[in-house]
Amino acid sequence: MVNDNREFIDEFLVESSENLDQLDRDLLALEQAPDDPERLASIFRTVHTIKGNSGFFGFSKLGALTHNGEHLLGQLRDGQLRLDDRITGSLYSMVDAVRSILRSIEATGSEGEVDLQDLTSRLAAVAADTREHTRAERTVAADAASPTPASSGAGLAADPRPVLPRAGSAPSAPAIDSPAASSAAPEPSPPEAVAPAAPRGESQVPAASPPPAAESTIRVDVALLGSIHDLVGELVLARNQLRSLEIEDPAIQAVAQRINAATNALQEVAVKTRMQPIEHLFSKFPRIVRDLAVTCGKEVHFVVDGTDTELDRTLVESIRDPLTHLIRNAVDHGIERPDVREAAGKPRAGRVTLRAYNENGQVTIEVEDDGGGMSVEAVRAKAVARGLVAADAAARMPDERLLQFIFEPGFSTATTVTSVSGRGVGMDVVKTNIEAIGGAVDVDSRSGLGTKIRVRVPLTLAIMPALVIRCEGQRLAIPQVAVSELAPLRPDRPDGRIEGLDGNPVMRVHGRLVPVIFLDELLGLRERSAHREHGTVVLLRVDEREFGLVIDGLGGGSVTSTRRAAEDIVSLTTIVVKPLGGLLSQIGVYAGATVLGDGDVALVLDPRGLLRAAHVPSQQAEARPAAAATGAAWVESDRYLVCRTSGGRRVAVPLNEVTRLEHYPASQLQPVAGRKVIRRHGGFTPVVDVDALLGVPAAPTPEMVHLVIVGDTGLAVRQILDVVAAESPLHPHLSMPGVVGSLSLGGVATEVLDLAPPLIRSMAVAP
Amino acid sequence: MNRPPESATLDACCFIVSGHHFAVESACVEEILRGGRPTRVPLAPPEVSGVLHLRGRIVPMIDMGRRLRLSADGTATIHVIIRSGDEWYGLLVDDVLGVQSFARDRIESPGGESLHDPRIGVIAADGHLVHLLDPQRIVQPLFRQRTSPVITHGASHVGSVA
Repeated sequence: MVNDNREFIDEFLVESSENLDQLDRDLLALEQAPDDPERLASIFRTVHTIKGNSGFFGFSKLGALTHNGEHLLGQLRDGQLRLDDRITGSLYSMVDAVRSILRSIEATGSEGEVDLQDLTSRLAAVAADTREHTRAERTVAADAASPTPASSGAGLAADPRPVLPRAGSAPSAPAIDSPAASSAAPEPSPPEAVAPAAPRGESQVPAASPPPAAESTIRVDVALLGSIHDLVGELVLARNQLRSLEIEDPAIQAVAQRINAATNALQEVAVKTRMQPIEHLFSKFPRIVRDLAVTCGKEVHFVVDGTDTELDRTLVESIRDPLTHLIRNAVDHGIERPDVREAAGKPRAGRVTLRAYNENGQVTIEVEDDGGGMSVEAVRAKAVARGLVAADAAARMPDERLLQFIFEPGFSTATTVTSVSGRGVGMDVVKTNIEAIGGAVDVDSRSGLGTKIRVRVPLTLAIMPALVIRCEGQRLAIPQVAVSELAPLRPDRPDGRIEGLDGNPVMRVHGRLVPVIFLDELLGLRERSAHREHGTVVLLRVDEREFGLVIDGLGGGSVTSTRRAAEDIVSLTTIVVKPLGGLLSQIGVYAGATVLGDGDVALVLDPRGLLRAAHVPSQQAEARPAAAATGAAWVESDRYLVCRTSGGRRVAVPLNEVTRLEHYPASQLQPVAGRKVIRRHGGFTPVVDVDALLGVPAAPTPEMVHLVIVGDTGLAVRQILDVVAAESPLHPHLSMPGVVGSLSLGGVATEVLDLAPPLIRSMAVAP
Repeated sequence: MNRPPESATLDACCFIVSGHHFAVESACVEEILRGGRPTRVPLAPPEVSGVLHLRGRIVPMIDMGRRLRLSADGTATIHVIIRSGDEWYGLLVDDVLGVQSFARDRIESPGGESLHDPRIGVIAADGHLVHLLDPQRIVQPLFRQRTSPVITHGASHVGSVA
């Protein structure tokens, strides 16, 4: 009898805990829209349910508490009271009290010794006070479009938006009304509505309310799901072995067919049972932010995006603490006090954005604030002081790299400069925790503008399509989402050849030059393979960056086995990614591993990790020593990149000075402090029109801007023509501006640009 | 089977690497795996011979010949699958002798402790020494030793068994 009751009570506890989470969300939404009758009705229902159940089980304190709460809510619902901060506060206190009673019931079976006299009478007092309240001053949502006067600093300051620049591909998922929205093509975030995103989504999907969900779901022990998952894995392997047998008997063949089909379906379903929308995690945060903001005396507008992004539930647990830490940091240390913000010309209310989206078979979660940001100089000084980096190296280091020092253990201490203080505390723990599950974390921050921390975690156990490739007898998988194209290596043709072998190897693809990574060299499987004749280039795109990966070939088939079923030759296959564990994920180029059809394990490459490991220059490339050493005059280079300027002139740039070629719509060029910059990779790159460099009036900007990235500057040209080997020595011109000389390229005399950094820089600054 | 909390004996799984006797506490041993063809992992620490798929997990295999700085002739094919924390590892050894009980008071300190030494005890048994290894200490030194993914590679290692 007692046991029966216990069972019901357990169910009551689980259900109530879910109801309380819903209450938190509803209350937050209600604060934003105090007159929403549906929301009020929902809250009323929830409290009523808890009250009813507590009466049933004889929990008198809980009953009395919720009774008072219900009474108050009834008055709100009937319009006798208007919501104000006092009422909201009491309701939150009630939710907390209910929660602590439930915890006590769970632990001890009784309601415990909580003294609720005070709270109960407060609720009663508030309810009795039916006087019309005016709404207390409330947090006003920051308007993303409102111009903010520039604070300080160089070129960045003219950027009118108080929010951090987003890496172009970093999508803020659109509103949450459709489940697929955030995983599908991301688009720029719409103008912010006043209400936080999470409740907004719910109000459009009333189906989230308990009754229908309760009937169609049951609770299952996670461990049970786990063992189902493992058994399905075993079944898949057995199925694969079965398939590789030569079966003569048609009856057995038919059975094998059915086992095959059923196993496929089963595998898919099993994986789905592990996935959970990240909302379960995100729904806790609005309350945390609210409470913390109140405690710190901050005004914070919290925006949640992409709550329907799915993640393996075990991972959801692993990122809970790190994310909580990051969000607390953003509110506590990121967002300034309202008066400080006003003085800096920002809206009083700071904005903290929590955003999740799928990218390259990973889930990316961003915590972004528009607060004070971190001072790169302070980080630099601290890193040098702590001996983490030599002073001269630190001086050369790009900002993005320097900021990563905040993840060093104990980097930020009480003695740190104010702008960094606190931000580093515990960041090493965050990093360790995220890396332990095969994820990564990085930071971008601008002093005065805000901070963005990006956490990427693998979609462990997620099914994803992947390309299985071969490299030196090793089979590896590449997430298909990163693959844009395949091209054979053809040294005899200009569009299948790899150029610039001595410096940064590049390949021409549809007229673009893309950097190339030799996978066998990168993995240490083969020495220098630069002059290879055969192979395939997989074009990959990650974070808007394109690069070619040179591999031996495609192939899902086993390296050792000769007889393969036809389907195994198909190299595009669906894989189940399994985590590699800490020891091997620290290598940084693998996203996980998968079991192929024949039971062999294949490592899954992480395209982003490949880029990092190959040191393909990313953001503002570090000033290259060659450029510094040669000063104004360039040494002769074997190969040149030939371009046409907007004005139609044919010019050349030594290929070994070119770090990247990129293309942007002209609309992305922004005038900042009298010069043009482009946002790329979360930073700003000054853009110099080559015609201006040559002292010729610039022609009207075409629709597409082609940029030749040299050092930390983008040279804008109209067209990139070719990579050509020099046919004559450089003939110097001393008097011509912007040109070091000319030489014969492709049978045509071509001017070679003078890329001396001081000149470029001065051009970049000039209007 | 009702053992007191502080048992007088320790059950350990004994194995041989390059003629030397080693043991790990049997409570940490998941299973013994004979055969299996590990998939090699480029850029992994040199001690990692590859990974195997085992009951839904991807398990790194550690070549104990290399890990213990004993000769590694590459003929070993038996893996002792152990647990360290939440993760599993396979220890590639020459032969597995089975579980033996050792009196705890016969376990002596290995002496000369170094960070890279996975030994937590030495037991004299039947004319030879059995070195008792700690799973965590077998694995831990491999962690910080980041193999930098550069083109030049080869013998790069620090630390050794005392």
